This record gives sequence, structure tokens and C-alpha cells, in this order.
Amino acid sequence: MTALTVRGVTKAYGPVPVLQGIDLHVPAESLTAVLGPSGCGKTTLLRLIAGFDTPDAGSIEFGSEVVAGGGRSVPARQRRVGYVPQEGALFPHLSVADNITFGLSRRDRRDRARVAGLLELVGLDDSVTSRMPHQLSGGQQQRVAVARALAPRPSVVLLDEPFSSLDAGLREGTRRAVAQALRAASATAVLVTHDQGEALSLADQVAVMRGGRLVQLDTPTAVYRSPSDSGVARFVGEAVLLPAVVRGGIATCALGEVAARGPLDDGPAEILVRPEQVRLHAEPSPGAVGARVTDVSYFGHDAAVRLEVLPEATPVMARVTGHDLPVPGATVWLTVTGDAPAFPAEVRTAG
Amino acid sequence: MTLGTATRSTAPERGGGAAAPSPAARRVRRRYPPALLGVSVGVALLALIPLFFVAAYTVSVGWDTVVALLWRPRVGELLWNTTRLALACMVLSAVVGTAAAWLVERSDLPGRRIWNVLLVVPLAIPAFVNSYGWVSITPAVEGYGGALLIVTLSYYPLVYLPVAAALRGLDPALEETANALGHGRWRTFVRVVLPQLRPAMLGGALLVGLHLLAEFGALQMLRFPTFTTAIYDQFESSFNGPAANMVAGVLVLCCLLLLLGELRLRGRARYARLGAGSPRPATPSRLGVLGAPVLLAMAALVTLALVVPLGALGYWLVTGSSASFPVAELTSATLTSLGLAGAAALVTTVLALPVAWLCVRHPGPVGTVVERATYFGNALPGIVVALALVTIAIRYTPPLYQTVPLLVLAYAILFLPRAMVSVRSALAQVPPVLDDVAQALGTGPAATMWRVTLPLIARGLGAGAALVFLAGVTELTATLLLSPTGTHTLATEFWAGTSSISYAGAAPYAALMVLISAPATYLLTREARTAP
Repeated sequence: MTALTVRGVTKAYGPVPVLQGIDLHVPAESLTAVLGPSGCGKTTLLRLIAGFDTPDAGSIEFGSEVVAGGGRSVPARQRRVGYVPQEGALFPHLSVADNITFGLSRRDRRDRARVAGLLELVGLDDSVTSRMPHQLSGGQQQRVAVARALAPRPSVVLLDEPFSSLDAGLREGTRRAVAQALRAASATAVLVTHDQGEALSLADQVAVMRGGRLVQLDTPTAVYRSPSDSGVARFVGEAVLLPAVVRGGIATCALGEVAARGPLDDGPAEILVRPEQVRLHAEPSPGAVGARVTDVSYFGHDAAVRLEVLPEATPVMARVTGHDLPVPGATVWLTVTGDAPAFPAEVRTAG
Repeated sequence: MTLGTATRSTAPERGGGAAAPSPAARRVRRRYPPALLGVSVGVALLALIPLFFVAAYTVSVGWDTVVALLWRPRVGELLWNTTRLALACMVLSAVVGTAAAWLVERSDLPGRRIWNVLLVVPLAIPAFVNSYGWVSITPAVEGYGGALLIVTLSYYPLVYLPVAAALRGLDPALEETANALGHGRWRTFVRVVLPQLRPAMLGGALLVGLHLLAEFGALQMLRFPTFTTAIYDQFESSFNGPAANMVAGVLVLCCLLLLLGELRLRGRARYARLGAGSPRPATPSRLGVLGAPVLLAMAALVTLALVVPLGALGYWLVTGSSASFPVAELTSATLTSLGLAGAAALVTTVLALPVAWLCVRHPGPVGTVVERATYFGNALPGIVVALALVTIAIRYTPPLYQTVPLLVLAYAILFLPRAMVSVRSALAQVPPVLDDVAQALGTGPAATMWRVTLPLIARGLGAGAALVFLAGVTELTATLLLSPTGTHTLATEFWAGTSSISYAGAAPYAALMVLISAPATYLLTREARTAP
């Protein structure tokens, strides 16, 4: 499969700009998640790549072939894209096999071995071949939709929030099966999602979008650990953002002294601490700050503890394992493990 | 109140901004495919021919002639007759239809399922067959009282069906809440249930009015002159006289008035139930001591609406068959009726498809205007459509006059709305994302239509065609004016029989019409059940 390159793409519907200059490179045979809140333009970007719509400016290339740009646009049916919309959108009047072979030539449609191979690829049993879509569970429908998209060996596979309509129990298994199928097929894939966990766990590369712009393109670890600004920080995970003063690589904040990361001059700043970096201690120790527990949300495997750091009652959050929980009202001592990225103090962009 | 304002949401303008555009909004395209637009506008213009004709005629004769033709005691008398019959019948139908619907859906009336069927069956008996049954028993039903009785018995199901559907969709929790707040059964009905039923009830009553303004056969037989019968008489005596055309103009105005009301209602027609899931079945209200009288009243209604006309029909069938049973004529009339109705069904469905496509897939002002144009068929009496086509054919295309294509065109104009309803709802259930998927898989528009869309809407097309077919089989007025010489349908043969007071001779034709239109009842009840 080929790489996908988007250069300076803009799109407006009437007076409303939806995309304002998007540059995105998806290396061949890799999965890129486009992550953003609803309304950020991510689905529009996907539709432009698929060819359902044309960009106002900029270009889209599949490998070395320009499919949109310079005043011309290859129609969607000639782009060879695999498209997996929300809820799968299987053709309701066709069986699983007929759905999968829909995009193949008349002769290839009779090749049942191909159907079996594709079903295996997405982790489905051969027995579903002759079933109708309404006889499948949501997760199975989604896998068939992926098999259908992969069948004609597309250049690029585009997935538009494919897991958002599944209930939590099915979602994880389906995600894993789909990601494995895409890897096994060596597909170049773009996954649009508003679910941070999905983007971070599935993708090789995460593109964070906000207000029609691409604000960060990085590996999942980099996006989570070194977000480009506090808005991205808040969007990709729970964040404790604290005003701090940085001096010589050490930030002093409500949680005490924390090693600061980032090319930052000394002075006022804002630092990002992830809740799992905050440790709770029953006894005071050097460097630890006292805090009062206000609320505990217990999830079984772990728990979120909301605290007020004394003496100014600064609210912070800690994520702790499910054992040995403090009770609301108790006083505990907090330390921070690892370093924390610091942002210039003025920048407070909404995520 | 919030329920009342919760209209069907119109597709918002495209755009991103703060709120995410819904997938539906994203599909709104301002560019219309030229071929589709051309065909749709053509269909709309076809449907508007009768309206153009009436308007153009009125303008061409000039104001003085219009006043001279209309400002006569005879026209005043017709207006009075038409108005009092239409209004009284609308009120009576609303009362009878709503009461019957409440009893069947919400009370512990015994045998509710059977009553539901029995109450709808009158729709399968054309009004002119109903009045034939009554007139052949007693001439006492001639005149206003009899006419009101018979048309109400024929048309109250048009209120019963939507009100029953609305009641079925009405969450009983609302009534229970009212009970809990201390309202008795009657106050709950008036303050909670009735306001919710209003759109269904008014919509049904307006439909009754439109049917009544178009009714010719039944009223002619009962010798109660209205605009429609007067137009026919004038057409028969003076052939295309200006007087007939002017009265047609007044009739169209009355119809448009009702249509306007119906259109205004239609916007909020579906507020019966919001939210997902089906409501719990309601706990039936106990009738108690009222049970016996209510049962008696229902039995009386069904007797008057069903037993009398069908009994008379059976009586004449038996009496007539002992005399003569013209098998050859019957067969030929049946085949003609089936053939004409079949052609009408095919043509009308084909015409409805592009218009439905335009307004489902490219919603916007153009689609709405085109759709509304085809909707006028609902409001145009057969007599007006026929009059317009006769006049235009004689003046501009004499070879078309009294040909099958012209008759089929009249059917198409009259029944386009019926086909539109089915085709539209079928298309609306095909998500446009399937087109996107097919396109991404390398399929062109024509192949997508053939492999994806048509298989999915086939049932809707079939239902629409069936409705048109069944309406065509019992169409009388336009057929009388437009059918080629020597072409006899069941309806015209029946009419010829009754006109010469040969009740026994007319009976087999009526029986065949009732038999053929019985499935229409089934289709209608099923539609009302599935789409509240």
C-alpha cells in the first residue's frame, strides 16, 4: 500500500471554515488516528481524502499520485479507498459474502476462498458467510465492514469512528481485531475518533485536531507525555495543570518541587502532572505536601482520588490502584514521580 | 408546550463551527443534478396542469364574465349545499372516528381486534357503491340527511385510522401521570389525550373534506347537487361550457383552502411520541355499566356502514343472477379495469421516483416546491382533472382525446400523492452512507442504483404501486369523462347500470370492485400500524 500525503488542505462550507490548512503525512503501512472533539473537522478531512468532497485549496496524494489538487479531483470510485463508516453500513439486502465481494469484479465475486480469507483476517468464523447483516452483532458487522473495505486491496483504508456505536464490552475486542487485520493486510489506514484511549492504543501516529487545524502530529507516547499545549494535554487524558515558577529546570508548584521538561526560560509557567504521577502517602516525608481527600471514585481496577492541597485548597487528582484507598476527609501526603512538561504561563487554550 | 413545538427537524445548513454537523446535514447538497432536477420539474408541471388550466381559463374569460357566471342563485345554492355537507360530514366523521378509535385502543370493549378490522372495511367499499346499496333499498336517503349519513359512513375511517395510530403511539404514562395528579377519566381525555390527538384528528377530518369535495358518484345517486355533480351535469349537457369551467374554479379554491390547512398540520403531524423504544401497552379503561350501550352503538355503526350496503349488494347479486349473468361483459370490464389500473400504477410509480429522490436526497427549497406540486393531486377532484385534460386535449392535441394514455395521465395526476408517500418513506430508509461505501468500492452511480438502492426500495415501490392500482380500479369520475369510446371499466359499467335503475345488473360490477379493493384496506391498516 501507499503513503498518504495531505498538503495545505482547506475547506469551508459557506462562510464557515471547517479545515484551515491541514498538513498530514501518513507513512505507508501504518495507522494514523485523527483525534479531536466533535466539530473539529476530522470527518470532513476523511471525506476529502475519500473523494466524497473536494478541498477548496491544497492537495491530497496517494503515494506519488495526486488525487485532489490543482483544480482536478479523482472521483471516489476511482481512488481505491477502503471506507468504513460509523456502524459499518453493511448493505442490508446482501449476505455477508455478497457484502464482502461487493467491490470486486464480477469474476472475483465467485471466489469464495477469498471471502474465507478475509473473514479469517478480521477474526470471524466461516459460518457467518451466508448470514444477513441483521443477524450479526454490532461488532461482527463492523468486522465485516472492514473485510469489505479490504477486499479490493485499496491504497488507503479510512475508518470514520468505527467503534463509537459499539457497547463497551464489544468495543475492545473489535478494536483489537480490526487493528490486527489492518496490520496483517499491510494497510495504510486513517482512523477518525474522538476517543483518546482508542487513538493512543491503536495508532502508530496520532494527529490531534482542534478548530479545523492540526495542532500536534506525533507518536502516542509523545502526544500523551509531551503535548504541544495545555489544551492538547487536557484532551488526550486527565490532566492536573498547576501554576508554577520554574527556576533551573525545577518547577515549584502546589505539589512541591517537580522536575520540569521543555525549553523554557526561568519564570512563571504552567506544568502538567498526570494523575498517575501523583503518589499518596499516609505519613509525612521530606518534600511531600499535605492534602485533604474530598472524593473517591472507585472503578475496581483503580480509583480516582480528588484532593485539596493544603493550605490553599488547590484541587488535584490522583489515580491509585484499587487497594488501600483513603476515605474522604482524611489527610494524606503527596509526592510526584517523574518529570512534568511545562508550558508558558499565559497560554491557556481551551481543549 | 414542548411537545407541540417538537416538529420534524429540518436539515440545518451545512457548516462546522462549534457544533458538529450531523451526518444528515453533511449530506445536504446545494447543487442539484441537472437531469434529476429536469425530470422532477417535468413531473411537477404535469401534476399542475389542471391547476394551470383553471387559473388560465379564469384569467382568459375576464372579470366581467367570471362575475356573470358565478353571481347566480344556482351557484349560491351549490356553495351552500357543498359547504354544509362538507362541514357537517367533517365534524361527524371526527366525532365518530375519534370515539371509535378511543374505544378500540383504550377501553375494555370486547373483541377489540375484530372491531378494528370491521371499522376500516368501509374504506374498501367505494362511496358510490355504498349509496347504491342504500338507494336500492329506500329512496328516503335522497337529499341532505341521507347524503350526510352515507358519506359519513363511507369516510369516517379516514379519521379513525390516524387517530387510532396516534393513540397507539401515545405513551400511556402521560395518562397515568394525569390520573396520579387527580384527573378523572373524562378530564384526562379532554386535557391530556385530546390535545395530543388533534393533529391526527384534524388531518383526518381535512382528508374527509377533500374526499367530499371530489365526491361525485355517491351524491349524484342521492340527488344531492354539489359543485362536482353540477360540473358533470353541465359538461354532459353543454360539453365544455364556460359555466362548468368556472364552477370548477370555485371548487378548486375550496380544495386549496383545505389543502393549505392540511399542509400546515402536516409539519407537526408526528408529535405523538418522542423518545426511543415502544411504549408499554395501555391498561384498558373499564367501561362498566356503559359497556352494553357502547357495544350496541358500535354494532349499529358497523351495521349501517357495512351490513346495509353489502347486504343490498348480496341481495341484488342473488336476484340478478337468476335473471342473467353477463360473463363476457364482466370479464372484459374486469380486464379493462385491471389493465388501466396496472398501467396507472406503473406510470405513477415511475413518475414518483425522481421527485421522491430529489426531496429525500437533496432536501432544500427546490425539492420542497416540487414535492408540494405533486401533492396537489390530493386536492384536485377527478372531475376537475378530467375537465382540464379534455379541454386541453381538444384544443391542442386532438388525437390524444379519448385515448388510453390521456386517461392514464389523469390517473397519474390524481394518484401521484399516494405513490409519493410510499416511495418517499422507502427512500428515506436507505441511508446515503451506503452510496458512499459503494462509491469507495469502485461502483458508479448507475450500478449503485441497480445493486444497492433499487433492491432496498423495491417493497416501497410495490406498496406505492399497489395503492395506485387499487385507487384506479374504483375510479369513476375521470374515467366517465376520459375513457375512449367502447372502453368499459367496472366502475363505468356499474354506473351505467345504476343510471338506468338496473340495480341487479349493476351488482356484479360493484361486487368485483369491492373484492379487488379489499386488499387496499389491508395495506392501509398495516401502514397505519407500522407508521404512527
